[in-house]
Order: sequence, then C-alpha cells, then structure tokens
Amino acid sequence: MSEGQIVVSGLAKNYKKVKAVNGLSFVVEPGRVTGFLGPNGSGKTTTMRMIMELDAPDAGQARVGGRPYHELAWPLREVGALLDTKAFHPGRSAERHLLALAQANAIDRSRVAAVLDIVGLTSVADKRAGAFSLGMGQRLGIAAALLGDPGVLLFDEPINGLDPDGIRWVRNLVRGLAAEGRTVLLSSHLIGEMALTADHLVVIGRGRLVAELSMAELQARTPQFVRVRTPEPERLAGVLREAGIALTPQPDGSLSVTGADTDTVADTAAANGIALHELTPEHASLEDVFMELIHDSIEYHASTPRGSASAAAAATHTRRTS
Amino acid sequence: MTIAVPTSRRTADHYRLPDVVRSEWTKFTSLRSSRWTLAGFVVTGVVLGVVISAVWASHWPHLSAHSRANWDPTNNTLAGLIPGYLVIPFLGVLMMSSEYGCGSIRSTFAAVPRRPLVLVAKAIVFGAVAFVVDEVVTFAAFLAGQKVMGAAPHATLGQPGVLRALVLSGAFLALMGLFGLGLGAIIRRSAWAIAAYAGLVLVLPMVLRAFPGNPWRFGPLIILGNSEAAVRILPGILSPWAGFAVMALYTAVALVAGGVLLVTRDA
Repeated sequence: MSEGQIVVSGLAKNYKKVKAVNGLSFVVEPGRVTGFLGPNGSGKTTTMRMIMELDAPDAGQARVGGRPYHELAWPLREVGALLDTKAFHPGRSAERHLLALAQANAIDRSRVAAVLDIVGLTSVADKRAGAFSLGMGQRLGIAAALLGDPGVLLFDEPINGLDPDGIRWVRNLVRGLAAEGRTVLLSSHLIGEMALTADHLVVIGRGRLVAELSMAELQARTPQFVRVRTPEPERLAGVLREAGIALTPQPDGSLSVTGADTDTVADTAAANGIALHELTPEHASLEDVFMELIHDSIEYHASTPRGSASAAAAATHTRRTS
Repeated sequence: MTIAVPTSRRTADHYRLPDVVRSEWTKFTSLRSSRWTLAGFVVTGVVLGVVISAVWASHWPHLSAHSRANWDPTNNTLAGLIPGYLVIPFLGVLMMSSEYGCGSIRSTFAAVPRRPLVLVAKAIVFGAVAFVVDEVVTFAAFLAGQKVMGAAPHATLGQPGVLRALVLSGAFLALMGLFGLGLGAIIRRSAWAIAAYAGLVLVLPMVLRAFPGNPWRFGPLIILGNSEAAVRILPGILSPWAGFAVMALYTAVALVAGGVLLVTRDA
C-alpha cells in the first residue's frame, strides 16, 4: 500500500564535486515517526529538498504516495514541510503568509487561524514575521506545514531555536501526528532527541544509507556491561576468565564485564572469597552506538575533537563487546 | 459511468492558475513597502508632471517658431512618468527576487510545484496593478498638467493622438514592470537584477548612440518618452505601436527565459 508512503530510491545529488547524496534508498511508512538521523552535512536537508522537488536529483527518484511531488493535486493538503527556519517574507504578517499559502491550494481560510492557534502564534498573527525570534519563526514554519492538514509531514531539524518548552511541544506534536496515522519524517543530528521522538530510524552518513532500523533495535544494540570494583582485580579477572566470562580491565582499576550479568559476577566473586566494592550494570550511551554506526561515514572525524572523543569511546565499547 | 459534477473552485481536482493568482495577490498587497512605493509614485508622478508642465509653459513666450511647431503639451505632462522608469521595474524585479532573498520561494514552490504557474500568476497580478497605477498617474498628471499651461496651447483628451498617448504610455510602463519581473526570475539576486535593468535600459541605449543605423531608438526609454508619450512624433523614432510591439517582445523574452530558468534551476 503506497498511500502516504515516501519512497526514496537511488537518489543522488552532487554539488560541484561533493556528493551530497549518493545512491540513497529508503521507505518512510505512515503511522510512526521516522527519524532521519545523520551528522551535519550528511545530506538530510538535500534529501528532503529532493522529495519536495525543490532540488532536482542527479539520479534516482522520490515518490510521495506513489507520485512525484509535482504531480500532487493539492501539494499542501498532501505534504506539509518545515524545511527552512526562514521560508517567509520578513515584511509580511504571519497571518498573510499563511493565507497566501492557503489560497494557492484552495485551503479553507479558517485553517489559517486554526494552525496559528495550534502553534501558539495567535497573539502575534498580525505582526511582521521579520520581527519574530528564531523559535517563533520555527513555529510559523510548523504552522505552514500543518496548514493543509496533510497526511505526510517532513520536519527538518524542527527543534532548532526552540526553548525546552518548545522542544517538548514539538515532540508531542510530532508523536501525535504519527499516532493519527500520518507519515512523519523528522530529521535531526541529535540521537538523544530521536530516542524520545522516533519509532524508526533512517541513519545516513556522507549521503549514503548507514542503517535502517527501529528505535528498539538500536537500543538493543547498545552494549551492556557490568562495572566491577574490587580490591583484587587481577584475581577476580582470573576466576571470571576461567569461567569463560569476557571482560576488559579499565585504567581506573575497575573491570568491565561483558560476558555475564551482575548475579553471575557476584556469585563467582563470593565463591572465591573476593570482596566487591561496586557492581553496576551499565549501558553504552546511544551516542556511542550512533557514532559507531556512522564511524566510517563521518567526513573529518579525526580532526574534530568532539567527534574523535566520541568515536574513541565507541571504539572502547566495541572492543569490550567483541 | 460518469456523472457530470458542476465544477467550482472547491470541487476542482487540482490547484489551478486562479488559486495561484489569489495567493500572489495576497502576497503583493500584504507588503507595506510595495503599497507605499506605489502610492509614492502616484504622488511624485502627478506633482512632477504638473511642475514640469508649468516650467515648460512659462518658456512658451520665448520659444522659437520651430519649437512652437513641435509643442507637445501631452508629452510635457507625461514627464510625471519618469519616477516610474525606476519604481515600476524595480518592484517587478523584487516580486521575484525578494522571494529568493528571504527564502519564501521554498514555501511558494512547495504549494505550487508547477513553477511556471507562479511566474504567470505574478505577471498577472503585477501587470494588472502596474497597469492601473500607471494609468492613474498618466491621466492624473495629464489632467492636472493641462491646468497649469497658462498662455501655452493646451491638449485635451479629444484631440487626435492624445488618448492613445496616455493609454499606451501607462501600458508601456506596465510592460517594463513585467520585463523587470522576468529579469528577477532570471537573475534572482535583487541587487544584480536591478543593476542588469539599469545596464540594459539606461546605459546600453546611450552606448548604442555611437553606432550607425540609430540602434538606440530601440531603447525602451527612448520609445516611451519620444513615441508612446508623444503626440508629435519626431522622425527617426519608432511609431507608438511598433515601439509597443518591441517592448512586448523584450518582455516576452525576459519572462520566457525566466520561466525556463525557474524550472531548470534548484530553488
């Protein structure tokens, strides 16, 4: 059933010599929030622009509900998009901006007031949009996306510029839209945000598909280990290894045990008369897993301090689990 | 089995030009800057027409017989259109280029992915607005200007060529506005598009004066000032209808080129 599906197949786009998107294929299904995840510059925005046919692909195609965007009968009633924070004229009021869009697709005038109310801009509807803060501009963009009550929604980094209240509001809005059976594609470079919002993930790096999996699958992939501190780390390591349990001694003198749960570690220690000072079950962070996923696709990961630190963290966990 | 359903806007099966025209009308009328610019043009245009007419009329007693033979009171009052030589094409340019400048073009094309419709709708809205405003300035400057002619011969609407001069001058200036719209679609950056207009319309004809065969007579402002807005047309100048056709051709070329580029380039 193609109703409400977004199908991207073999999409490619070059800017000068840079392959912004490189043979990308994935499907976005209705009724759930699909997170479109990748580092900055990985091609998320370009892909969304190609779905909207704002940019023409060099290869491949995108289909919304089985059709290319320009064949949609009433585009805003079928697809709503927040692609840019500033997709409005600064001299025009929020209300006139939305009215002009509504008229272009013969959307009832009453929807303008309705979406202004949804995004909380009713009191500034007549103010010049140029005077809006980044967060208000973002809300106006979301209002435009909701204007035609569309079944498919594209949100490119919607929480940019929003305060904590606004971020929570977007999260609930997006989840609510998916719960109503709509197709929601939500891009972000923040895995933590995705964990709270998305059901399904399309992960890209350097314009290529890195992984397509459910949020639950990603969480299941996060390595679990048991952190153990003991006055006799060498002896405990010895008896655990004898029992066939994998572990890695850490620089601070603790042990990261990956081959057993806390009960097994505690029982083994007790049986050998070894005192334990700490026994903590731990997860690697989602960030670590994300960084591991896209490890090979980050463009300059060795030269960016933040990226290399996380990559190194991911690498330690990888060694522990293997 | 097909059932004939009476079609209306609400029951149409997809968006059409009237929807886009409505949208562009809302966009144009909701910008305070364009409303004030047009109002400013009407006021300065009429004032300028009156002042220049009065100054020319005051020279009448001292004019030579030759100058008196070429006396064209209609043309004098239509000096009021001069601010429009800049204002109208600039507004045309901005109607397209400002959407690229601020990013609203993405919203526009998201709603209307068949991009030529956007350009056609903008041309209809701006062409109509510019035509009405230009005719208001033309007629108001003419009627007010004739009142200050003093001892010099006046023109009246009933005289041969006068009504033609008034209507065609306003329409010609509206065409120049649409030419600006086309330039805005081709160049997309407001400043560069305005520079291109200045180069093509203001500078190029002056350069062409150096060339044999009078190519400068194809310059839009030469045509407008000496043919469209004139009742007595000097030799070597295009006739009003030929001049109008030349401007229509420039405009069509600019709009078609702009429409093609709109479709082929990324937004």
